[in-house]
Amino acid sequence: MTSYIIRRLLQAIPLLFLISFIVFVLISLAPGGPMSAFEENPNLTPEDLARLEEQLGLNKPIHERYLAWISRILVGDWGYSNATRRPVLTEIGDRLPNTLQLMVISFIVTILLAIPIGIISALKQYSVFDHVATFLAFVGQAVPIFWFGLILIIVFNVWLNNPVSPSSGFSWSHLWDCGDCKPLMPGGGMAPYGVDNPTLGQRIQHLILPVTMLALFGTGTYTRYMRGQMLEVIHLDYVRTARAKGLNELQVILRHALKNALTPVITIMALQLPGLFGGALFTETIFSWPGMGRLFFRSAQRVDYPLLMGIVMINASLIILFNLLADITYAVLDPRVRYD
Amino acid sequence: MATTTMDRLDLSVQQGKERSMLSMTWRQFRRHHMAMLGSFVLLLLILGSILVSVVSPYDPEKSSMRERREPPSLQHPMGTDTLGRDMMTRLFYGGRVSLTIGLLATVVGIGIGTTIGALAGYYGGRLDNILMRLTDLFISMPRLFMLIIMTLLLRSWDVPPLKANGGVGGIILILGILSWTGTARLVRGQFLGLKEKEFVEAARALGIQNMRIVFRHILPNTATPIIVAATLLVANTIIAESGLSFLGFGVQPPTPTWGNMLNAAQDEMRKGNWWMAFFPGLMIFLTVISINYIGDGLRDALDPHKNL
Repeated sequence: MTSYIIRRLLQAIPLLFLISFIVFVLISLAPGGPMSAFEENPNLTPEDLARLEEQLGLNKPIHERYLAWISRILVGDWGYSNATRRPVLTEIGDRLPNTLQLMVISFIVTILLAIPIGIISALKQYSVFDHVATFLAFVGQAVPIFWFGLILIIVFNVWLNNPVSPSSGFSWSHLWDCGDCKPLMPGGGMAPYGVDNPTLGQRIQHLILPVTMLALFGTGTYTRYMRGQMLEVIHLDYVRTARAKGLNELQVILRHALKNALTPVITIMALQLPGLFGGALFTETIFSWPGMGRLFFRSAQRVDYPLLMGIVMINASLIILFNLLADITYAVLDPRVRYD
Repeated sequence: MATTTMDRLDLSVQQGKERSMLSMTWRQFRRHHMAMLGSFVLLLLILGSILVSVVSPYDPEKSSMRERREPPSLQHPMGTDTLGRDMMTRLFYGGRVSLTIGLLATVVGIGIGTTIGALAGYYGGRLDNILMRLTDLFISMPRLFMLIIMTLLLRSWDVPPLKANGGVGGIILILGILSWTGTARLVRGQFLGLKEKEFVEAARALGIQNMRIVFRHILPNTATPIIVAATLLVANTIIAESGLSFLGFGVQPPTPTWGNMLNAAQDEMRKGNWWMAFFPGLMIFLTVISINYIGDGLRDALDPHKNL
């Protein structure tokens, strides 16, 4: 097992270098790089531009520039953002916790919804519950999450109000008809505008809509997957044996069937977890959430190379790491799998 | 000489089988109600996109200052946008663009994936190793981030076919290049199993060239899973395109797509102008769910264990 992990880690390293090289080349070829600001300056002569290019090392061949860049990355010097002049690692470090907070909570919500619904669907195959759940899972898979986010804002921020009015107190009718009420849910940000140290309640309020939006991302897929896996094991011999032994239904389901059905589901989830970064890009853009996704979005608009590179590298590393974790959990959970 | 006899034999068997396969598939497919409903909805959307230029009295790109931000009414069933253009007309013109991108990007993706998967599976050994590491490489790249970076790169390329109509060609290319990995793995798996079968050995014994065996003898046998994968890929690329355009990195206005119409609606909907965001998203949703159900129906209908 240990040697397998070490071998896979060693395979991951050249992969990371390759990805970093490809991304480096792609970004270097894109317009709007570090020279574009100077090129628009009418006071600079072509000679000045050439001298600047040399100073910035941009006239060297691409592989030399890559080697210079990657050796700096390896010693922890990730450069400075072209737009804000702050170190790339600081910029990322400021945002990463916000994104992780959003992702982890959404992921937990997804699991809490998808696994029980998938199990019940499988146990009551072809029941009304199963049909409704399967249909909703199909709907969930087809709804574009950015649209879902916009709809959430319209309904819970624009249309519905907080039923407590400052002038006339609480009334259910204030939900849709109220002159001086606040919106039911905040429409963006991590805290009310101008508040530096939000209370726990305020934090949770600001999390509800973004988490709902991001949780939609995988719930449909995982529900269907859980249902399928459960259906596969429930007719197997060892489940029948467990029943024949006289175990009660709950024990049969939880200890015998679920344990085996869950293994591939967990693997798929681990594999797709980094995909949440993509979803977070939309969530953070729509809800002005100060995380990595929004940072990437703005850096892409400004073609801010060092930041773009940094974010992609962190993402690629996470994807590779989670691939590895998925394989390892699979090997740990399923004793039949042995890698030699 | 042996080659031609073999091929003719092979072909006639295939045609005979295909005719009955087709009718059998259709019989199965018809039983899947949601897949039939999906086909119907998709057909309506396609017809609407084709006929919109004949049926609609409005110009998709001409603004009308007196009719800005009108909610849905009889004249404008889906309202008007910030420039007073009829939303419904623009949505069907957008459908042309979005559906075309979905379809063509899938063709590119399936083409690359099938070729790579077939070569890796058939030849095995070092070629397989290299191609599969390449696949791993593409899978490990964060897709949405790579898509955005590639659109930045595309802006600097002065290739007219890629830039026309708000950059539709470029988007097709990018989406295709980043969506072949699943197909490659699928086809490779199929080939690994099929290349050991007797009919392949027979073909090889007859001295048929490798390329011919790959494309004429083995590939037709992998059509079923590829068709299902392609169907679902169309839905995926449509979502990816609209996501890119929603962020402003995809097809550029004034060429309408469902994604960039949603982008334009972002600020409007905070003012309560819901129809500008609701209808473009609804179109994406209807298209994607229809295609997904069709894919589901096809999978059931093409499943050889179910047909008997």
